[in-house]
Amino acid sequence: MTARALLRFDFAAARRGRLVPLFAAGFALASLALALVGLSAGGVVVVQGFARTSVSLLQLVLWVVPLLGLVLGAVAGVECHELEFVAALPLSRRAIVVGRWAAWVVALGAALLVGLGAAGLAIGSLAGAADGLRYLALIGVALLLLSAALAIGLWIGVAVGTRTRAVAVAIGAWAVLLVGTDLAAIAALAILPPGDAGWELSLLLVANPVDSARALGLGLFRADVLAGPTGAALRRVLGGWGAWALVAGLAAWTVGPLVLAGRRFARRDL
Amino acid sequence: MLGYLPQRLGVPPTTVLRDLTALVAAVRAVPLADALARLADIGLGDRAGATLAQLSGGQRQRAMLALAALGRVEALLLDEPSISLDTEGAEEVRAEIRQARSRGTAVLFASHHLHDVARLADRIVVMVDGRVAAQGTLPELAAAAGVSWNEVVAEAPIERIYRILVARRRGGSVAPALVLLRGDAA
Repeated sequence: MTARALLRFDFAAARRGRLVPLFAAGFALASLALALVGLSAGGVVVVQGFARTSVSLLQLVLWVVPLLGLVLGAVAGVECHELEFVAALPLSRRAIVVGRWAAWVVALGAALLVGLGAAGLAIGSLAGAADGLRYLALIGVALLLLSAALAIGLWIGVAVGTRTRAVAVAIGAWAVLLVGTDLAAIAALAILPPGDAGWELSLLLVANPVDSARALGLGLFRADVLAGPTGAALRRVLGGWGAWALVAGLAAWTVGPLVLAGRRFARRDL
Repeated sequence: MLGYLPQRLGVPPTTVLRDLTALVAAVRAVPLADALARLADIGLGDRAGATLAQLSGGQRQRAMLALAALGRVEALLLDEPSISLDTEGAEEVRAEIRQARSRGTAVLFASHHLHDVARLADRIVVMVDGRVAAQGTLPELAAAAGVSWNEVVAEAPIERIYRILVARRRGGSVAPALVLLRGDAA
């Protein structure tokens, strides 16, 4: 009952601002625009409409979801320091942190479902329901990425403590996750002897939630067909337990930062 | 169970009073209807849907005090409960403290408002630089400071007593006084 009350309290706070409906509307519009552009390109509406447009939508997810998750998570983390009254109630500090994370996952997750759901309806009605289940799996990947980004943002917010610095660090982390590790991968390829970089690059893939989501999303839609040799290499990585390792990596990026944020907040003098 | 009222608000000002009330009620195992009735008791029944930022300073502090004391709270810890309130708001908070006391709740509060201390406290602890400079009832502190006054005809010269005690410890600086109110249960 207490956990539900805490979740309801934090959820009320999360949905009170204009951000969530704005995100839902903006994401829905952008998704629909991408879906319609994707459907009209190349005359592939009937055969591969869902797959092609989903890959376009995946790029939108990979850019927008981590940014929003990290920034809003950071702000929510900083706000934990304003909860002196709530922290004095017989509630554990970890429960307060997890409550805030869960509330934002529910609020932004619902907005994400609205956006991707609207695009999915458009694709389904114009191009048929083929690959619809894969599309649902793509939404699942987006939710996992959102959950991880919010957890990392929350950890940043709790650790940094001031709003401006937390947002700056969150944006920095977004840049590193989106581009930084790819640059590191390119550097690794340049340094390591040819043919020896397989497991290091796979590790880099699991170590970065954005890359994990990208690989999973591409894998869902037969990336070898769509992305040529790159996709084929990706498919090799994802074969066997590879995809589950990526899912586990994304889950770990949720649990790990949440545990660290809880610990940090528990030790903090408010 | 201990209730605590921090000096600053302690929740984001955009928090809706009803949401906070529901949380405190759930945590303290008080039915929500009873918690909302408590808000009505303090004249905020029609303000439950407002955010804390939309309430006046006095209303906000009264609401937070009522929530801090909600349920079977045996002791209340209040940090500057009447700071930055106007005269009316401060009087409302004093009334809430008296009510909590009459319910048998022990109240410990820190305050720079010495007249609140004189009116409300059974026992006073004067702190200077984080250390106890003096403690006792008001007449005991007056005696320790060498100040005499007629309780029947005049209010206690608490500021004078305080200044003397602080100056004796370490002249000049102003420090909060810690005050213990004893309720019936304490």
